[in-house]
Amino acid sequence: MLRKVSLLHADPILFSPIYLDADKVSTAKLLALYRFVNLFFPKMGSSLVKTMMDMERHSERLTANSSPHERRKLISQMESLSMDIQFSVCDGGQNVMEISIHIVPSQVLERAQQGRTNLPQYQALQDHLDQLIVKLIAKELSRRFSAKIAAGLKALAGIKQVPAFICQLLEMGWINRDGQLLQGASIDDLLTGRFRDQFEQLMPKELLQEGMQIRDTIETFFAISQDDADSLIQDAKRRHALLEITLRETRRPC
Amino acid sequence: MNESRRLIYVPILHAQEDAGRTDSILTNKKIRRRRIEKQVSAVEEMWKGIAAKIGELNIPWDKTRIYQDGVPVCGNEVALARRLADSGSPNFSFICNAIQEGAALEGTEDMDLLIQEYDLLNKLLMSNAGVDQAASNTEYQAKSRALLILRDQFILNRITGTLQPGELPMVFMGVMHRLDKMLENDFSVSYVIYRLPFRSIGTIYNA
Repeated sequence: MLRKVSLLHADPILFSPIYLDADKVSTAKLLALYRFVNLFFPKMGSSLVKTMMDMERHSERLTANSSPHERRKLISQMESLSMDIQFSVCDGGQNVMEISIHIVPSQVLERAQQGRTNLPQYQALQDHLDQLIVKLIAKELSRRFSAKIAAGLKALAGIKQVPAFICQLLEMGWINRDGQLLQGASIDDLLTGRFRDQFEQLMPKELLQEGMQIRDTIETFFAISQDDADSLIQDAKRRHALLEITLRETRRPC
Repeated sequence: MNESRRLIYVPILHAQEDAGRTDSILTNKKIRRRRIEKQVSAVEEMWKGIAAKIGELNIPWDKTRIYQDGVPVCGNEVALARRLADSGSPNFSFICNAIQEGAALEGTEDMDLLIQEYDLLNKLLMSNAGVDQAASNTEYQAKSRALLILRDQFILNRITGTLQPGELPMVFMGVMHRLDKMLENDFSVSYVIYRLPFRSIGTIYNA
């Protein structure tokens, strides 16, 4: 089922929701699509994003050349109008990604006229976009790392005396004969969990190191999130202690 | 005028040492301790990596002005950096070495905004023991985010206002800041990233 991540909090001027089915979307295909778009529509993506950003952040400046009277006229003429720009990616007939941009021109102009910007909301929007993009990056990293593991496992599965560990993974349905990780397999279990010792013995040291580095990176940099109250508190304690020293030192006479 | 000026931007995480060794505030639970130890180790490694990467850049230290997350405009910035380096902060140790090489450390943050951040943290940590922790966390995040925008705006003005002709600005900012996006209008931003600056959580391997 399509997971819908809303980037909109009932404000018609901001981007409408982006829908992303991160579980189904193939990052390899997305990269291929990205290359295709760059070849045939090289400026489409960037100019669209720039337009949207300008509309969101610099509308006052962009409309400065039109007189207040002209703006009021435009606002009234466009009052009930709205524009929708739809971009979707389907794979095998299934929607895997969808970007819908919904613009109410009269409200864009009205906001520009009032000189209002909503930076916290814009920031929240950026955070949501970051999360979506990061999820895709994480998935692509995972895919590439899985391919490396698969190459190692395939080599082991092909030898005359297949190691017991590989047989176990095959029996559990974690890998196929080509060494590819199947649904339900956990790379985490291979790297740090119950299969760590066998994995360490059988796989190249560099591969293990690379996997651990990716894992540590994700753990460290993903550590602070809204869902992770413990990390939030730990981070708050660190920054609190740091600020305590700073405030104490800066109040001390020289 | 400043459009083509180069600026070195280093996204950072605050190490445990940056806050001093505050063992008393840490929980004794094994799983949390392990996690914190791992984070401390990752941050230490990060600083080694950052130092190595900056070392490769052949920075003209005597023409470099450093702007650091959490350092207020106070007149005794260098003494503060030394104090924090003495407490074991790899971040400030690096900065002290750079100062020794000839770099200038500039007061970066607005003291009032830092005090507001401190008060917000105080409130969050006081309420943490209470029952409605989730609500406190959400409230803190919303207020902190709004404050961060003001802090970034101040830092941006500080950089553009204090940087001298011919100087290279080097900015050390926590990963939650979005200052780099604001700087892009005036500077050509070069990042020094030891590891990928992911900001949010996700299960990478089996996503």
